Order: sequence, then C-alpha cells, then structure tokens
Amino acid sequence: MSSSLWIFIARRVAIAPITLFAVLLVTFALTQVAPGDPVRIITGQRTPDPERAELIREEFGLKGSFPERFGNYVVGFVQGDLGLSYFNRSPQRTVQELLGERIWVSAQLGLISLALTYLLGIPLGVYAALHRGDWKDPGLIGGLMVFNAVPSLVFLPLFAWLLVFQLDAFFQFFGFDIPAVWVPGDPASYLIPVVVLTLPGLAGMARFVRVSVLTVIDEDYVRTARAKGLGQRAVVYRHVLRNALLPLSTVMGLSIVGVVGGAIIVETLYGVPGIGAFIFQSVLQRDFNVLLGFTMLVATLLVVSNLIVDICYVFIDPRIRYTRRAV
Amino acid sequence: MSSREMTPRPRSVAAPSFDPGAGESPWRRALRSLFKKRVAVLALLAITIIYGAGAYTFLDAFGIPTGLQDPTKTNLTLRRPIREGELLGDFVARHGVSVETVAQLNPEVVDEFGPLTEATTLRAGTQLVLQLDAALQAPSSEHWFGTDRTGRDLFSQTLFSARTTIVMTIIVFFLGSLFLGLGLGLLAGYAAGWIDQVIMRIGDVILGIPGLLVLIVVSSAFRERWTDAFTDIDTFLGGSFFIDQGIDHITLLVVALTFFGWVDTARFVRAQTLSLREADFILAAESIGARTPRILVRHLFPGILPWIIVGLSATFAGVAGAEVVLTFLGIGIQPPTASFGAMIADAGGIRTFNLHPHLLLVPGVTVAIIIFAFNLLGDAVNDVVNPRGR
Repeated sequence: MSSSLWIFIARRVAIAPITLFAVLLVTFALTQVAPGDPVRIITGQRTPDPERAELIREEFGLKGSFPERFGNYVVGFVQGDLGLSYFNRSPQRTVQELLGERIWVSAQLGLISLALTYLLGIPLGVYAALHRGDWKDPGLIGGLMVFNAVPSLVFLPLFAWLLVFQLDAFFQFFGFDIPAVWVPGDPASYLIPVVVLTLPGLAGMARFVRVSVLTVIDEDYVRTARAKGLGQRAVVYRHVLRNALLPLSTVMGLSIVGVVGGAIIVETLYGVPGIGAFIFQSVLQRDFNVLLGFTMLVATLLVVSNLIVDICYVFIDPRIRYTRRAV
Repeated sequence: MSSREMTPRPRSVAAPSFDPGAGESPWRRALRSLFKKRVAVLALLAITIIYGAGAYTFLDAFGIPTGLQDPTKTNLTLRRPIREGELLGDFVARHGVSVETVAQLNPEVVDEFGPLTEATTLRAGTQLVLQLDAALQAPSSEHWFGTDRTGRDLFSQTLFSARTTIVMTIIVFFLGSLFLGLGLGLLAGYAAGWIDQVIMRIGDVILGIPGLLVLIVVSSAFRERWTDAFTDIDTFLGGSFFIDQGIDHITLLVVALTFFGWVDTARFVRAQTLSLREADFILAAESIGARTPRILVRHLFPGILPWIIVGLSATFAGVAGAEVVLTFLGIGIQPPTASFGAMIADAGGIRTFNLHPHLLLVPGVTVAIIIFAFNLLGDAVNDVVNPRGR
C-alpha cells in the first residue's frame, strides 16, 4: 500500500464532517428563517403570554444571536443531543428519544428492502444484458419501469387491495392473513410495505447492472475467455460479473435515499409506527426540531455510507486513480 | 451553414461523416431514427395527448367555453359551515345553491329547525352538505371519469391537474435545466479554475442534502411569506388573479425543485464541455479570435444539446412524480388548485378503493402514464444520440 492511498483515505475521512457541517448549516438556517415565532408553534397560540413565551425561549434555546444558537446546536449534535420536540410536550420528549424508539421498525423494513433490491436487481439486470437484442431485454426492463412510474401513493393501495380483498383466500390457504393495516408483531404485515418499498427501485438497479454488464461484455478479456473455450456460465460468473458489479457500490447512496423517501409514504399509508410516519406527522405540525434532527440523521447515514463505499472501492479496484480527482 | 456547424460533434453524430447519407443534417437523421422506434412514437403520442388536454384548459382563461367544470370554482368540501349570525339566505347566496337543495340534503337540520326559509338563522358553525347528489358517481357518459366525493367531475379535474403539471414541468425545465444547469455547467467546464471550483462545490453540498427533507423545510418555512408577497402583487394590480390561480404555491414548489434540479445537469454538461473543449474545432475558433460567449453558444452548445433533451425527459418525469408526493405531504400544490397529488390524496385508502376504484385509478394511471412515457422517451433519445450504450 502506497502512502498516496492513505492520503486519499485521510482526505475522504476529513471531508465527511465538513459536508455534514455544510448540510447542517443550510438546514438550520432554513428552519431559523421560518416565519412566525417557534413559540407560537409550540404554544399553539397566536399571542402567547409574554412570561410563558420567555420561559419557552429559555427552554428551547431560542435566545441569543444566530451564531450562538447554531453553535449550541452543533455542540449538542456532536454529543447526540438533537433538541426538544415542539409537540410531544407532556411529558417533554427529546428528538433523539422520539426518533430512537421508532427507528427499529423503519430500519428493519429499509434493510430488508435494500437487500431485496440488490438480490433481485442484480440477476434481473444480468439476465436483461445477456438477452440484448431479444424481446426479453426490453420486455423485462420495460416491465420494471412500469413499477417505477407508478407512484407508491397509488401502488400501495392497489397492491394492498389486491392482497387483502382479492387474494385473501389464497393467503389464508397457506395460513397467512395479510392485514389491511400494520399489525405490530405480525410477520405477515411486513409483506406489503416491503414490496412497495422495493419494486420502484428495482428498475433503476436492474438498468444500472444491465449497462454495467454491457460495457464489460465486449471487452477483450471476455472475448479471450470465450475464445479459449470457456462455457457461458464460467464466462459470466468469473469474467463478466466480477468487473461489472464493481460500480454497483456507488449507487448505494441513491438506494438509501430512495428507501428513506419511500418510507415516509409507505409507513404513513400502511400505519407503520416508524420514523417515516412520524416525519409525515411532524411536517404537518411543523415540528422543525424533529425535521432538522431527521435531516441530519439521513445526511449522516448518506455521508458515512458513501465514505465506506469510497474506501472499499480503493481496495477492491486496483485500477482506481486515487491521487487525483477523476474528471 | 448550420449543418456545417453541427457536424463536429464526435459523440452525438449517429454515423461518421463519411457515411453516404451525410448530406442530411445530423438533426434530421437523429429525428428519423427516433421516429423509427415504435416505443418512442407511442411515448410521444401519450405525452402529446395529455399535455394537449391540459393545455386545452387554458382556453378557459381566455373566456372560450370548454365545457369543463373548473374545480377551483366548484363546491370544494362536502360540508360548509354557517357563519356566526348568518341568515340561511346569505349562506345560500354565498354558495350559489337553492334553499330547497339545502333542505333536501340536510334532513337532520329540517328536523331540528323546521321548514327552512331564507330568513332562517341556524346555529353558528352548523355544517351543511351541498350537492351530494352528484357525489361518487362511477364513470358514465355524462361524467367520463366519474365524480369525486364532493360531486366534482373527475375528467375536468384530471385536465386541470394536467395543466398544473404542465406549468410546473416546463418552468422547472427552463429555470433548472436550461438556465442554471446548462449555464453553470458550460461556464464551469469552459472557464475552469476557481469559477469551476465554486460552482461544483455548491453543487456537492446541494447533492449532500437529502432533497425531500429540505423541500419540506423550505416549503413550510417560506410558504406564508411567499403567499403574502403574491397577495401584495394582487393588491397592487387590483385583482386576485395570482392567488385564485394558485400561482403562489406553484411557483414556490417550482423554485424549490429548481434549486435541487440543476446540479445533475450542470455536472453532466461540465463533463461534456471538458471533453469537447480540447477538440480541434474549438481550438480553431479560439485561434481566429472568437470570444468566450460565442464559443459557448455557437460551438459547445450544439454538442451538448442532445444530452439536454435526455435530461429534459428525466426532469419532466421527476417533477411530475415530486408534485404527487409533495402535495400528498401537504407541502406542494394547495387546494383549491387542482393537482394529481391532491386527487390521489383525496382518493382515500383501500376500503374506499374497493368501493370506488375510479377515485384512485383516474389520477394514478394518468400520472403513471406521464412518468412512464417520459422515461421511455428519454431512453429512446439516449439510444439515438449515444448508440454505443445499446
């Protein structure tokens, strides 16, 4: 390992907090320029009692200049303190508590769906690439794009209706009862949200893999492998896939964003008590502290996963130029 | 002249210049191979129909009767409350219904207050149901797409929603993709140096922000101010055009989407510019003393245009999808302006769907067709201008 590689990694690690800081600054500034006093949102009164308003300003750290408040937030953020929720006030809850008790179910759904996107998207993309010029390639990709085009807002009710009202007898035959809304602790209620979270992202993944395989499949070394008499299976697994799947790691961030965005809709519609549904509620209530905390949670997730991907990439792909930023 | 200027585009030209058909301009050749694709033609057809139907509603604004029901001027909610101390006569005049209709549709009020007349004073806040007779009808010859739960014609609503989508997609495309994306991308790629650095680092930060969340924060933070500004403009002009048409909410959404929409285009244009700027024809233009703006517009722009068209499809599909999600979250288009997001949000859950499937299917299928068609078109154009990817 050369030293320039370690410099590259060090630079990447150093940039991550700077990106996070910039995101935090922008988002924090946006919540601060919101019209109307946060005190009004918190108390729900148009003209709150001045004495009470003073107490609330004290409690929520709304006093002082912008740099002061921002500094306080940053110090809190580093220590894992995301501030107080505007709405869950009896008893007063902190944002990190509220997010923490909802993250488990959302993380489960999100991870299952991410895993499925990769597990199904890769074989589908490879299949489409190997059938280039055939009806199977455009047929498969086109079919996946239909699911991509239907908004989850429409797809979830349609799919749930299909399972709950039309195919209920079929599932009951196998001992499942698919509920129309989320039932805590019932494994059958995972089916609908996971499918609706996974299907829209599948088209993107399959297309990415397809293009990736197609760029590799015409390379000289693949032709060499075929020329020396290797079978289709050996060529695909040992020569094509190894190189075609390398760029896949770069779309990790995109998949995460897709799943988080989808979670807001899916959890709200299906009644899942996760972070997504909570965020929807916070949007309606303008609970800016919760929104700010959630934004930073997602941004951190993105930055960290991109960082891991970047570093892994250096070790996986010996061709990567880590000394200079590629154009 | 123009064909000569367009020839030196090493990547976008469908065939090399020694091709026997080289007399034809690259644009016509590209168009011809695009129209050979059945998928592309179908997609274009679907887009033309939906955008044409949406544009048809603009006739309304010029006073030409369209035979459509303007959703912003029809009964908006199932129930309307009586104001404090209001006579039933005033209420009836305010909503443009007759006392008989109110009596027919609100039997429980008649039970409580006796026969209703214009002089009847009801309790303040009493909710009266209006025009329920037309509500939740299945598609018929009179209402092609049926009616919603407040009795509004869904066909008219679909057309007016399409209009909202048209306005949004076109503005975001011009502002975000063309003005900011293309402009800043060309500038960054051609000028290089610190200008490039500044533009691209700003782009990095914007891409690092989870878009949906900042859209949420932006639109809930600025909405009141934004609406106030448009109310001021209306007062200044002495009317209420902007507020009536929901221009305030549309523009807020458009500006927020533009803010996030330009970075991808700019990055792409920059990369293309970097690869083109070392080309011989640029060097030739520089050596005969052409200035930067001329080089950008006359020499670099034509080489980048095909990718702008590919990006156009992605932008249109993305904006149409974003409108639905953001409106559902309550931070997009606001009622009474018609939009697909609002129609989908009104359609309710699976039990409503089981009883009245048209409520969800009408807006859902239309939006899906718009997004699907733009995605297919983008792929087809991409295949034409970039044949290696096939």
